[in-house]
Amino acid sequence: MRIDAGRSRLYDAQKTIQNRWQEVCEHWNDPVQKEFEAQTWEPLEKLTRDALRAMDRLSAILREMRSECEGEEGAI
Amino acid sequence: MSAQVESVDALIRWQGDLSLFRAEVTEALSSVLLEIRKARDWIETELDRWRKEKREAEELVFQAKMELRRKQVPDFNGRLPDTTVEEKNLAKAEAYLDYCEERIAKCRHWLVELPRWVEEEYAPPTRKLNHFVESDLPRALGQLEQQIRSLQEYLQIQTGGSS
Repeated sequence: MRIDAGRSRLYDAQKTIQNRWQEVCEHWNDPVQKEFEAQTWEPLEKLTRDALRAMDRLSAILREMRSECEGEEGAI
Repeated sequence: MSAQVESVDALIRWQGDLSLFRAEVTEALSSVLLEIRKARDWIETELDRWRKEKREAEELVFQAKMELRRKQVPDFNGRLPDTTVEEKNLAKAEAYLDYCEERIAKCRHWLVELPRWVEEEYAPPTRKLNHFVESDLPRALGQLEQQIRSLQEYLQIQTGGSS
């Protein structure tokens, strides 16, 4: 019930692809690159950030759920 | 042909990096979905555990009440014995029964709330990302492939022309 592994995987993949984008832009600077940036790269970056935020919120929800349901047998 | 692509190799690497990123996104999203399913199963398990615990707590309350009633019989002088311990035991047993009922209510709440929350808050942004990497990104990769081929053909002509 830990989403950390999936979240880390997406976060690491995002960091890696951001670095690779910087690298390829050093060699690629034409109208096709501009089009790719606007139509693919920028939406992809935004959607990845949104998904990471959703995972962070999900993680908080799961923590809250666990603490409320788990309790402690013989607690009183 | 534009001369602003300095390295075809860089574009080929980028194409590979994007394909890898696509696979990583798919894996990450699947992994979280699996954890969400596990979370739902976990609530069911907790609900069963607390239902069982409640039955035991009810038995403890029953026993504590019996103990208290037995003690509340006046002695041969007509005096009521001290029942402080029995009363405390009953209060403790009743408090634990309340605690179990509260946990059951929480589990029931989360059995409804978690799927609702996931559907309304988590699913929309992650579905959009999944859709993008499943449809838009392959299309973009196809266009990139075309550009790489055009560049390679252009470079072949250039090399052929100069030799």
